[in-house]
Amino acid sequence: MRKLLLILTLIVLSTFAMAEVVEIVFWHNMSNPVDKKSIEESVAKFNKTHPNIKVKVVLVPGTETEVTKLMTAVAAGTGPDVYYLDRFTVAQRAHQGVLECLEDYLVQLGVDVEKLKSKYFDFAIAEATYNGKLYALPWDTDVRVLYYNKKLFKKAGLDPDKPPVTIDELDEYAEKLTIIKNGRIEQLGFIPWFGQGWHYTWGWAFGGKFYDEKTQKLCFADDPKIIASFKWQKKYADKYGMKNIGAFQSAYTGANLNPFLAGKLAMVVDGNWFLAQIRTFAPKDFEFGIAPIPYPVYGEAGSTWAGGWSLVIPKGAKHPKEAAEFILYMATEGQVKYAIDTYHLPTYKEAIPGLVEADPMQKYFAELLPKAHCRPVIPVGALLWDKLTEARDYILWGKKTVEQALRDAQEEVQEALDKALGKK
Amino acid sequence: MSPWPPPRGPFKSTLKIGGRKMRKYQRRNFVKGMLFILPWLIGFAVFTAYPIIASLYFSFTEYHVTTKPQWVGLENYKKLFNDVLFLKSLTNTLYYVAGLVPIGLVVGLVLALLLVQPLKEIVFYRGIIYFPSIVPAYAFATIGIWFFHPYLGFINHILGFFGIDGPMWLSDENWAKFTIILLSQWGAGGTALIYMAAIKDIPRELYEAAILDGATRWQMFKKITFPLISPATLYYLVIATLGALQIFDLPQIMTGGGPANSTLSYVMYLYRHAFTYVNMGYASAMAWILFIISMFLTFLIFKTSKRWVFYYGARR
Repeated sequence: MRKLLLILTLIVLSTFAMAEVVEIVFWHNMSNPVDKKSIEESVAKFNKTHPNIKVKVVLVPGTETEVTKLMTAVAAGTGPDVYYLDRFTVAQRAHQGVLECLEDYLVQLGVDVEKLKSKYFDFAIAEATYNGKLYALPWDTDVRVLYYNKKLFKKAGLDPDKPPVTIDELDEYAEKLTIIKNGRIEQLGFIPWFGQGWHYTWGWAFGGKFYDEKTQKLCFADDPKIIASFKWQKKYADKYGMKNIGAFQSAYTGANLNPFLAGKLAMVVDGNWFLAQIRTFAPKDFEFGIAPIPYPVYGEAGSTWAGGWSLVIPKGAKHPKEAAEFILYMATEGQVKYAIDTYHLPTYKEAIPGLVEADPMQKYFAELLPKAHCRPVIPVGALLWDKLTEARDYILWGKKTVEQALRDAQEEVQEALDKALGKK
Repeated sequence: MSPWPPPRGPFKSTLKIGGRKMRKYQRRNFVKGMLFILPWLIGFAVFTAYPIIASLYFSFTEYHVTTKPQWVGLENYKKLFNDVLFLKSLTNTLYYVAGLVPIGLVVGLVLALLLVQPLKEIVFYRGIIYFPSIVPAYAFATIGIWFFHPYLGFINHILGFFGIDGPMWLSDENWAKFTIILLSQWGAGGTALIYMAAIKDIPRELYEAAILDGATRWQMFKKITFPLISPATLYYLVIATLGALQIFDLPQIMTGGGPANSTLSYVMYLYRHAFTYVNMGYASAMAWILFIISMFLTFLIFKTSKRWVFYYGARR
C-alpha cells in the first residue's frame, strides 16, 4: 500500500514537473510609464504564483474605438490571449464575434460568477455583459466633475468656496468670469462642451434618457430634457460665437496645454484623471476646487458617468482557460495594486479603501461611483457616440436645429442597431 | 498566374521576340530576368494585386473583418450617395484638389524660376527652400496651427501691421480648407526641384536667339520656358492630383475634420469607416469610387496633354 502511494505521488509529481508551461500573450496600450510599471509588476507576481502559466506582455497601439491591430490579428488567427478593451465597446465587439465568452471559462475554473459580479460596481458589470453573459472583467473606471479656479472666483468677486450648483448659477458665474477685450476672448467663464462636457454628461445632468433597454429603442431625440441640454449649450455658442471660442481654444492645442491650467478658463468639466494633470502641470500657486456637475431644477443632482477599460479574451485565443485565470487575477488583486499605484479609480469595490488611503482626495470621486451612469450597452456604441458628437457639432455651428440634428442621429443609429440585433 | 516553373514543351513556341522564336540563350536570359524580379512579382501579387481585387469583392458585401462577408450587391454604393457626410467629404476633397493643384503649380514654378538664377550663393537658397519638404507632416502641422493662430499667430500678426484684421483661419469653417491648402505649400520644394531640373534642361541657344530678336522676359517665359517644361507639368499635374485626392495627414492632425466637418477629407472618412466602425464593405466601396475618380482625372489630364505637352526636338 505504501509502495503504491509512493508510486502514485511520484507519478503526480512527475506529471506536475513535466507539465508544459503555457505562455499567454497579453496586449495592452497603457503606455503611460506609471500605469505600465504597475501592470508589469502585477504580471511578474502572477507569473511567480502561477508556475504553469507565463504571461508575455506586449504594448500595442490602440485607442478607445480604434482597434485595427486586434481586428486584423483576430481575422488572421494570430490574436493575443488577453486584450485590453474599452469597456463601452465590449457589447459591440462581442456582437461582431471578436470575443470569446469569458463567463464560460470562469465557470470551468470553478468561479462563482454571481458572487464575483457582486464585487464590482453595477455599471461596470452591465458594460461587460452581452446577451446575459460576461464577456469581460472590468478594469479601471473614471468619473466626471466640475473643476473651478478659486483665484479667478476671488478676482470676479465670487465666493471661492461656493461653486455653482444649478445651471442658472453656472450661467451667472460664467458671465461674471468672462473677460472680452476688443472683441477677443481673454478669459472665459465656461465652455459647456470643453473637456469632458460631452452629450452624455449634460444629457444625464439634465435628467434625460438616451436608450430604453426594454424596447431596445434609442429615445434621446424624443426626450425634452435632452433637447433642453443641447439648447442650453447652443446658448453659449450663440453668445460668444463658435469662431471666437475656436480661436480661444486653439491657443491650447497640445498635450499639456489647457486653458484651465493656464488660468484662462475659470470652470471646466473634466475627469478624475485631470487631478493628476493639475498636480503635474499647473503653476505652484494654482488654487482649485472640485464640485458636482451643475444641473437644472428638473435634472439630476450629483450626476456623473463612468467609462473605463476591461480585459477580454479575443476569439481564437490559444489558451483561453489560462487567459481567464490571468484576467481574474488582474481584475481583482491586480486592480487593488493598480488603484494605489496609478490613482485610477477601480471598478473592484475592495480596491477603494487602498486608493483613498493613498490619496485622500480620491474619496470624492469614489463616492460618486455607485450611482454613476454608463453609456448604453448596445452593439453600436461607438457609432452612437460619434453620431451624438456629430449632432452636437451641427447644433453648435447652427447647421441644423436641435430637434432635427437629434432626430437624424437617432434614426441613423437605430437603423444600425436594429440590423445588429437582427430585427431587420 | 501561370504555373511555375513554366512547362517546357509549349513554352518554346510561345515565347517570341519580334515574331521570331526565342533563341536558347535568349530564353535563358528571360528566365533569369524573371527570377530576378520574382521577389517583386510575388510582393506585387500578394500585397497589391490581391488586396485590390479583394477590395472590389468586399465593396459588394457587408464585411466586418471578423465575420464572413455577406453579398449585398450594390447596397453600399447606393447608401454612399445618400450619405451626407460622404458627399461632404467628397466636395471637400474636390475643393482641396482645385486649390492644391494650381496653387502648388504656381508656387513650385515661381520658386524654381528663382532658384535657377545665376547667383553665387544659390546653392544655399536651394537648400533652404527644399529644407521644409523633409520635415515630417506631424511636425509642420503642429507648427502650422501656431502659424495660423487667430490671435497669437505669425500670419495675423503680419497682417495686423497693414491694419488688416486677419481671419480665424482654422477656426472658421469658410477658411479652414484654404488654410490647409496654404500650409501645404510648405512642401513646395519638391515641385520646385522637378521644375528646376526641367528648366536647366532647356538649351541656352533658344534664349540667346530670343534676346537677339528683342524678346521680353515674359515673352521668353511664355514661348520658351513654359512650353519646354510641359512634360514636367504633366508629371506634376498627375502626381499632385492623385496626392490631393488622398489628402489625410494635415486635416487629420490640425483639425480632425472640423470645424463642422469643413475639412473632413475623403480618405479621413474612409479611414473612419474602415477602422473605427470596422465597416470594411462600405469603406471598400468608398475606395473604389475614389479609384474611379482618380482614373478619370488622370485620363482627362493625359487626354488633353497631347495639346499642350511638347517634347524638345520631337515632331508633332
